[in-house]
Amino acid sequence: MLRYALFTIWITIFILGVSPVYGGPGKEMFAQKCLNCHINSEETEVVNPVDKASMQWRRFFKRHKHNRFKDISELLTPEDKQQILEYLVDHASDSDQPEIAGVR
Amino acid sequence: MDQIIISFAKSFRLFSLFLVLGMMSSVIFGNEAELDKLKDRIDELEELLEKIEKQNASDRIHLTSDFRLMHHNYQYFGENPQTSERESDHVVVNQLRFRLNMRTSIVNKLRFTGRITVFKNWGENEFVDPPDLTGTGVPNDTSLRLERAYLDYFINDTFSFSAGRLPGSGGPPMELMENTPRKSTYPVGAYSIELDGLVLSWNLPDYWKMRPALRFIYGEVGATGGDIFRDEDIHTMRVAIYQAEAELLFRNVEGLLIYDHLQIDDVGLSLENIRRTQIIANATGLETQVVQIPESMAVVQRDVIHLQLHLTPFSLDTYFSYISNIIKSNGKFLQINIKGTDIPILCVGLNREDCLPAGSSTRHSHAYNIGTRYQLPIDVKLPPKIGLEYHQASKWYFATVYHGDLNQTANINFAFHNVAGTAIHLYWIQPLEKNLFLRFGYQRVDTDYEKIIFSTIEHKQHLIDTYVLLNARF
Repeated sequence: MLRYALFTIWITIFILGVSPVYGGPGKEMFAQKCLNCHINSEETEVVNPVDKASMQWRRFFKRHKHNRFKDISELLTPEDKQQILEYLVDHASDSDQPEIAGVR
Repeated sequence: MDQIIISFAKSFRLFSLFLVLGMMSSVIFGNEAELDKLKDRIDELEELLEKIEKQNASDRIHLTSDFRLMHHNYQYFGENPQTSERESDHVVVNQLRFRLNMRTSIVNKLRFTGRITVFKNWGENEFVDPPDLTGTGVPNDTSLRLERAYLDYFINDTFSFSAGRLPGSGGPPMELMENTPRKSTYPVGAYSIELDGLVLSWNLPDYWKMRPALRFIYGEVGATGGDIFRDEDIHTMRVAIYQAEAELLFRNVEGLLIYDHLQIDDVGLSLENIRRTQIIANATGLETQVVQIPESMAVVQRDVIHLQLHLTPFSLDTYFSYISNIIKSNGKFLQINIKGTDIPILCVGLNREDCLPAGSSTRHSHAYNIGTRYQLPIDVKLPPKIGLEYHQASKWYFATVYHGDLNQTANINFAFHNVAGTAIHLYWIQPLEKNLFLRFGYQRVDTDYEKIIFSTIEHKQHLIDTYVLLNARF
């Protein structure tokens, strides 16, 4: 009985999960807002979360360092910035990294 | 490196003083172009300093640690298969685990990763028992274990080669309850012991919201019976794993889809079991005679499908694994008789329920694991996570552990992902800081069958573990 109950719960979660949902996680926000320029433009370098340690990302956002190169205040709301910062900090060079053979 | 930073910082401070003076004079004399130039140079210097700071923080041998304190409350009850009497036990164990992780980029294309681990029960200097039910990789003594030590050579962005003691234990989905990123190449349902070998990876380009990869893993593992063995007793088994995986990158849904086919051609038995039997027999005044010792007793084939999803808007993870196991016994068996007679005192054949010498058999078994982890929608800095895991497997199932304790839990019958029966795990992760969390858990393991060497007998046992652990990474 228990296994059927658990299986039902899992199926429900799975169906809920693949339903259309809305929201902007940090990774997606980073891909949309940051990589749009940092991959597609020849004028900018590719940006990766491991480019900086977490404290450096925090400092980068706190001091609005991006504005020295390009003012992005109109491109990102404070909420967007917060989500991107959380993603960058979570995946910064000093964060817990995945361990998979053959994967950078 | 620290000295370089200090000297650099001193130079930077001196240089900054000149720059400030320069800026002041520029302001005084109203030379704005000069001022802009100086600002640019300060920016450049700041960038340079950050690079050095980052290098110091992350490069060379990057050491991190993982320290865990555990309090386990085990309750056992079952029925003695010989006497049919009910048995019960209650054990409280305080335990600690310390891991030292190493990582370094030797050159741009070559990376080393290592991990050494030690387990220790409080007040005990030699043995670690009962086991941690949550996974393999738990030794049965306090010796320092080399859990992984391997080199990755990235030939280019697509192909890579890895060799050494591979990152194979604690694979998906175990990172969910460990509250870490993925920590293994293949899922726990495929194989979860320390494997020495090599991996060839073909990381394919992104294709329709997927990042596919193909891997071939070849490794060797030694099976021993534990504490009384000689080097020549170790039976080495060769393991081949063919893996196709895809990282799923859908909007709001990240995931992992893995298919594994595993094959072991030479499943055998450590001679240590013979030594032990002989020692016991000799102690009772019996002389023994080895009748036969087969090199190999079976071929094992396993197919695993693992799907894992992270639903970002709900902060919810969920997974499903199905494992199909086929053991093709070649009919050979190990036998020790009382000397000068035909009376066996040890008779071991793979998947045999009796001691009859004739015939071979093929055993098929299957298992599935389902689970979920949910981050509670509470408006706090570090919200808690709750998780639920369920495992069920049929009679002849064995998964992540082999007989013997070289790489394994101290008791294979109760290892969560190895149970031939059912197992359930409910846990609550309470983060205290970014790298510090508490986990409260309840596990119940109900075994239908007990694995004794290579045989499987019906034996209903129940083990409940109520635990709390504190984990710190630094």
